[in-house]
Amino acid sequence: MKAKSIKGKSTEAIEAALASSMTDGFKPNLAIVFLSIKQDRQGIVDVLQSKGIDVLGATSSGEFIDGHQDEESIAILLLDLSPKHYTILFEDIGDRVLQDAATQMARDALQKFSNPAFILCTTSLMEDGGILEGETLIRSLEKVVGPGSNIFGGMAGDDLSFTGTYVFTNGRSTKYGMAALLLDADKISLQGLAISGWKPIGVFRTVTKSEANLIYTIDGKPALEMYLRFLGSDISQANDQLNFFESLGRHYPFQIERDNREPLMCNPMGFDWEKGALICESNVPQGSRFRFSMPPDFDIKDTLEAKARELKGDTDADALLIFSCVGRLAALGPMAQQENEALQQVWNVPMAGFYCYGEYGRAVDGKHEFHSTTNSWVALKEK
Amino acid sequence: MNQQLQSVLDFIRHNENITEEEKNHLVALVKKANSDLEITEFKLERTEKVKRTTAILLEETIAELEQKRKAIEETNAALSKSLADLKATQAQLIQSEKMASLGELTAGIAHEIQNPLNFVNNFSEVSNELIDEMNEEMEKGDLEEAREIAADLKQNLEKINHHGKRADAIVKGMLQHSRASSGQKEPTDLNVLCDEYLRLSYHGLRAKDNAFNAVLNTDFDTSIGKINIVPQDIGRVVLNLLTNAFYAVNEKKKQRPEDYEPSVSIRTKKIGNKVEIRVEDNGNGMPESVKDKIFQPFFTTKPTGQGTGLGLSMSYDIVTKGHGGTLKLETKNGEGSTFIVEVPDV
Repeated sequence: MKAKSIKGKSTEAIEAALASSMTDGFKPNLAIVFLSIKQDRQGIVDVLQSKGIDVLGATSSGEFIDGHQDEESIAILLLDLSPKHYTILFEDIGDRVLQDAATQMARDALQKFSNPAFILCTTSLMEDGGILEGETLIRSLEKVVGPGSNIFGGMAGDDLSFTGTYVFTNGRSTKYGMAALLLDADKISLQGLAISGWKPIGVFRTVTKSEANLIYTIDGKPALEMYLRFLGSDISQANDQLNFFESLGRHYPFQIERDNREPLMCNPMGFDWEKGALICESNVPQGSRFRFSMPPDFDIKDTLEAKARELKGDTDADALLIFSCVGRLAALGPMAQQENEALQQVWNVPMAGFYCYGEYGRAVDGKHEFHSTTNSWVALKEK
Repeated sequence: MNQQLQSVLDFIRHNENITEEEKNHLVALVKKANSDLEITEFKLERTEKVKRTTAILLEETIAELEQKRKAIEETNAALSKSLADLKATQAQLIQSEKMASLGELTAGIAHEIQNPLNFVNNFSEVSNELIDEMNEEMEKGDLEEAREIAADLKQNLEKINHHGKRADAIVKGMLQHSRASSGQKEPTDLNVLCDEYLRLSYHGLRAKDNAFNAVLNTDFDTSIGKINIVPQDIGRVVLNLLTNAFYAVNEKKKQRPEDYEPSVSIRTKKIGNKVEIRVEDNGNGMPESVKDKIFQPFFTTKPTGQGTGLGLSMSYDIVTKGHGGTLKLETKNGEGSTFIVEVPDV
């Protein structure tokens, strides 16, 4: 596998960068594209397709490649990979339930490869204001392909405009669905890890009333009022949703207890002023126990880097993908880029990634999960 | 970019005295300085924000925990009150049980008192007649005869006094039984205590049902002497076991009036530094299912209204908690039961 990463602020810039990358004889046949919703998705796909390149794409909330990070831009990882070792899968969920679409994708995957691995991009925002259930998606895939399969990826973003997120391939695009680069894990090795760094604080609390992703009461008290009071927020208006997420939600997620697994990080995305409820990024069943959490320490970059070195050992890779939670950008500021750069330096291969609304990846305990607040990376190597 | 650093950058770029190579090097250094500055500024801002938020969160958590502590204190107080109420109710129940067992004794006590009363009545009547006779002899001037009658009178009065004291002792015993136990152990003749309660309980049952008869067997180990026990409490245990034994044989007699001879035995025995009391009956015994529950409070096999269900559980507590002993049951369904009390002889 050969890889190169390119960037640009426009379709023309990408066209030029692509041409430049190919001057040395590099002939990519696969592109993993992360771009702002303000960019011309179809234009980019057309440019790539004109060169016979297969596309897996997702919209984002900040894009980066090795040595460069930007907003409202385009980041692409170009790969020259044997077509025998991969395929692109696409599911527009449409009127189906998420489980059915995920099951279909998993069945298709098994038909293609007996040992499939996923680089998965999904949409995140739904028409009804809810968030796609990443946890359900992972469990549905896992049910068919088995719990040991590699699933790395991210939920598409939309520059924090919350107007709609997209995933796309050559000729197909959806606002509610999933696209995957399916790899033959017998031919391509994947090594990766998702690390959050958010630290639990305070006592365990219980969600005493909830419905889907709405939390009404915590320990019997109104959830919104409690969240605002405990985090010292001065938000006092029903129309302050964006300020809520910017200043609170993405900084102070809940750490929800899970049986025999790492806690699920869950960001409050907004609120329902009338109902006094918090709107979370994932469903929170009544009775869930959780703790408030604080952003990572400043040495999180060192932790991330050390873990990556540990996992890497003496191995090497051909390319690196990073799916970093958009919350990290807020909580770590310029250090979010530093940790991406640090990971790239560990592997020293072309890298591309984006700031997303949810991550898929291998937890520290080895299980592949849906995450939030993490930096989830995966290094690819053709065997 | 920071305004001052931007000025430095502009100066470098427009300075013609610096080589291109030097310019590039300096520009890179300034950019690095700017990046470091941005990170430092960010860290400072975030530290302030997180510090503030953490302080609020912890303050709120502490306030909340304080509220919870108060609520727990209030709950504790309520629980303590409930416990006190429960203990008071328990004491009332114990008293009820005592009174119920006193009821069992009443007929026996009446029987026991009747004998001395008969003596008192008879001797006082005879004495009355003797005084008349003595007066007559004195009028006749037969002082010798009068003295003899006076001697008889003195003997009678001594007998009246003896039987009066006997009745007094029975009444005192009854009062002692109904009174709250002092909990103080005192040297007690266990054999006398067992014998007394055997008679009282048997006559009590006979007074209610004079058709009832049972063979009473006693086998008291005289080597026991006086042992240190709370007499009211152990008396209550013995009475309870005997009452149950009589109830059991009486029930069986009702079922098999023809070919059954009720028998209740009480035995004492010194075994090393322990003393054993065995109360045995040849009643119907108990199935295993009943045996398991027999010492539970409020469990009774008697019809509603005839048993409080506290007798054996109280007995169990008296023996085990009050005296550091054991109370065991050996029973065979259809053949009878034996309750074995074992208390240390200290």
